[in-house]
Amino acid sequence: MRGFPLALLTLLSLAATPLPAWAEAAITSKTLEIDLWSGFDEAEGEAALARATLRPGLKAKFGRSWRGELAVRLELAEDETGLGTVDTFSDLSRPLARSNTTRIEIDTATLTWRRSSTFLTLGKQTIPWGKLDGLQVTDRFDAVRRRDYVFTDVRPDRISRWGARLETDIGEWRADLALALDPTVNQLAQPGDRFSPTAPRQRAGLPEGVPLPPITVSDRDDIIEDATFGLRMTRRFDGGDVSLLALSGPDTDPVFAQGGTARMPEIRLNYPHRKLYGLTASRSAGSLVWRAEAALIPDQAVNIEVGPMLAIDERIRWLGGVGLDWDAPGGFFVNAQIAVDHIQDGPEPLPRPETDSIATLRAQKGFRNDTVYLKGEYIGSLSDGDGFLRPALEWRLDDQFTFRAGADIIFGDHDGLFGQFEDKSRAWVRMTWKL
Amino acid sequence: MPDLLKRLASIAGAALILLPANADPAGDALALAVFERPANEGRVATMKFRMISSGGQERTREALMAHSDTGDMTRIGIFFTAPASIEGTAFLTHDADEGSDESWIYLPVTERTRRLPSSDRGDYFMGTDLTYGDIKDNFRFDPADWDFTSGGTVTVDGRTLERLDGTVKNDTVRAELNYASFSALIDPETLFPAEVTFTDAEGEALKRIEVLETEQVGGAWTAMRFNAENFQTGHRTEIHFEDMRHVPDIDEATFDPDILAYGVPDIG
Repeated sequence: MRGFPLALLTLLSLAATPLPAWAEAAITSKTLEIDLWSGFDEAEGEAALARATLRPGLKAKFGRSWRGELAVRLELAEDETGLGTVDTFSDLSRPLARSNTTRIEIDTATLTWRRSSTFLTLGKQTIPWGKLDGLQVTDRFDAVRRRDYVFTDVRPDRISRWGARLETDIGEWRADLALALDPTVNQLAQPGDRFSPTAPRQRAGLPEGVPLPPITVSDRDDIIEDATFGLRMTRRFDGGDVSLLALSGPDTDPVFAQGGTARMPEIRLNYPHRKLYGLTASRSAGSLVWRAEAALIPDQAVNIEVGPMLAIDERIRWLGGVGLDWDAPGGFFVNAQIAVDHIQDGPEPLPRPETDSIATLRAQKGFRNDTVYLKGEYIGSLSDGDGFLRPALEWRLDDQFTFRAGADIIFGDHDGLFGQFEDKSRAWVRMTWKL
Repeated sequence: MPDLLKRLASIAGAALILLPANADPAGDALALAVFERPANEGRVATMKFRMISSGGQERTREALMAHSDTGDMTRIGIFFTAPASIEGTAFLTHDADEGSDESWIYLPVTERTRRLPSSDRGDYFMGTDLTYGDIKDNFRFDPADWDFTSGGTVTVDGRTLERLDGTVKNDTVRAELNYASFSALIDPETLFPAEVTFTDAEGEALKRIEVLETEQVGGAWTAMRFNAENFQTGHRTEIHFEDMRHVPDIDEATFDPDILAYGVPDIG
């Protein structure tokens, strides 16, 4: 079934749900966030980023049991970073306005029913699972915005999808059941944009500098066939918690497939289904909090190198990671993480290393009653030997206005995960009003 | 003899027998009375913060505060509602008589509830002049952290108050709390300090907390208005509660870290 009629049906069903308290509707919060983000590339001597985002938001109550939330983003950009692809979205979620310089997109549109610790949320939402910061081991339910690669404040930068989520207690366990009837998979940088991948490892082995044929995206509108569903069960114990989870749905990273004809070849971005089985845990111990995640994907689709034609194989993939938060002396907060991503060996080589190791280190300290923060962050690939540093200053001038300045200093070889953007280092400033 | 004095006398008698020779029985007795100050089973209020820098710049915060005390477990939830920049942020702590204390924070920007280190008691809470430990302790001084000395009775503005001094038991506590000592003036009727001054871990004068207003809520004295002033930075935090209600049976789910993401709970 195609997306739009079903979406309409879903919305009509929602509207017809016996909500006894429509008459008691009351707005509980109205907010507006204005965010200006601009960057400067010293090597090119020009603006590398100029983006304005407006995010109006509304929260409402409908009696004691129902709540609603609506948040929209309006983005304006005039830069070479770009606002990203839209054909990786489903019809349901595709931005309402989608020119190269203007986007209007629904971030959140939910109705939540609650009884004690049971929550049922219907609508456009995210499902943020996992324990590590930005390292996606089990946190693979949501579609992800990768137009800025990973050079964002929050990682992953999630894209909400239409669906349903039920959370409830079952004995000592908390069950979290999620369903996304929305085949949106990601938002990539458009070809030629600043953070469009150039490394062979992210282009199915196609060498850097080789122009790509036109790229198309596999159909993203079969909301039943391309649904994502998952279940997470969490149990808390003294000082810690553990979760088991399983999810199934289209991958949020593409494999490259041959498309078009011999005379007019195309690259087709496919998002084959995969299953993920995972385990997470966290535990506090004095000044430390430990976090750990492990995942098995038994049917990971990968590109393999077998000749001039693009080829795809299915391999077993293991991921694991540990991290710690350290409440360090002197008021410093330190977060360190390491993750390993291994793809099963096979007869044909992969365009990426079989094992990727990623490390992150973040330190920050607040001054003047947390109105000024100094932050430093390193993210690097231990296998590729590349990475980036992000020093930043954050100044919360008053209750509404925050000023941030920093730099993304990228280093490494051109064929590395981060090094492919080695010449894209930038300094940036960001101003945010939240009213 | 009023009940309270009888109770203090009996606690002092027990302390004389049980405590080591270098302890101050009167100080220990007073501290124990404050520590065991009756608390209601649950209360809910709107918590309003006003934070003023040394230069006079003001910031404000508003939150729903839910507090539950079941005897073996104290739980506090603070759900911020204003300003918009921190709306949706929620802090939760479980302080158990036995087992680990646990704290969590939910930050809307990350969309996740994050477990906090249990030894963060000396870190300042959301830019205020109160530490996480101050909030958890609720104007009590844990005998596991402090050695006490009584300073006798003093009269301040016509009020008769009991002076209680404390020094940290060891360097671990000093590092965790970021305090070396305190000096408090205790109101013997409410067993709340009218004023507490703390020194920092190096022993330098750090800050003063004044309890300006207390009320009976559900049969237990409760601080309704208090200020904290940092001598070293000149920064000041004023906190007061509005719409304070005794809610003895707050839904367990209110204090469930998995639910912080759903925002301000509806409490009867």
